[in-house]
Amino acid sequence: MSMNIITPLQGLPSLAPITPQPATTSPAGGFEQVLEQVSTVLENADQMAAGYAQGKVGLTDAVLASQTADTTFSLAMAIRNKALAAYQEIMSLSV
Amino acid sequence: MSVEGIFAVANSALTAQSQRMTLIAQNLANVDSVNSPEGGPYQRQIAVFEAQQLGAGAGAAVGVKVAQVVKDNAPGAEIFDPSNPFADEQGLVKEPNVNPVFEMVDLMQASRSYQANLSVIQSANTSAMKTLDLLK
Repeated sequence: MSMNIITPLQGLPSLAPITPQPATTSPAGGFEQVLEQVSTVLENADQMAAGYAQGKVGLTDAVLASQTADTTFSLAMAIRNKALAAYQEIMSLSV
Repeated sequence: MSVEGIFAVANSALTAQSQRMTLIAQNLANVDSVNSPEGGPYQRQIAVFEAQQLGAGAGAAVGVKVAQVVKDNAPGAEIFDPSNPFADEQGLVKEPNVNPVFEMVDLMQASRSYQANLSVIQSANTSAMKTLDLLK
């Protein structure tokens, strides 16, 4: 009993070597910019509080700047928690 | 409108009302001042409010500001008190035209208006926080 050698119908295509591409977006998805803006708002509230202590800024201005900073920071934290929850959900997928 | 816009409008009102309260305090403090830096008895001062645009553009929010402070030119009472150094030849002293009753009513109005605007801020703040709770 003779066996024929299995001949390939066609050769395998040559694979182009994969060259790593630089990431177009930052790993955090631009979240750093958001954080920088939040930081600016917080610094502004800080300056307003100091200004009120020095008698340069009115009480309502200082309180409202502080309140705006609080809201902004809460928003940033909520987004961060949301992003982290999404990441953890992906990580806990069984493969 | 954003929460910041509501804050800005209400803040302008809070500032204006506290300026008004400052003037009321000034009037009440000078209820017996028969002399002033400009000479003559103290004259009651009144804040005149004016709408002002906050920021540029047609859709900009409209807040409020104290446009000017005017003096009440109504004559005050004249009382007979010859021992007062500011009495004239007939012994009459010109009193300020401040009526404490009017000032107290004005103070109540200013205080209520201030509280109303604080309620606006509180409500806007609560709404913003409830909106953020959607993300939780």
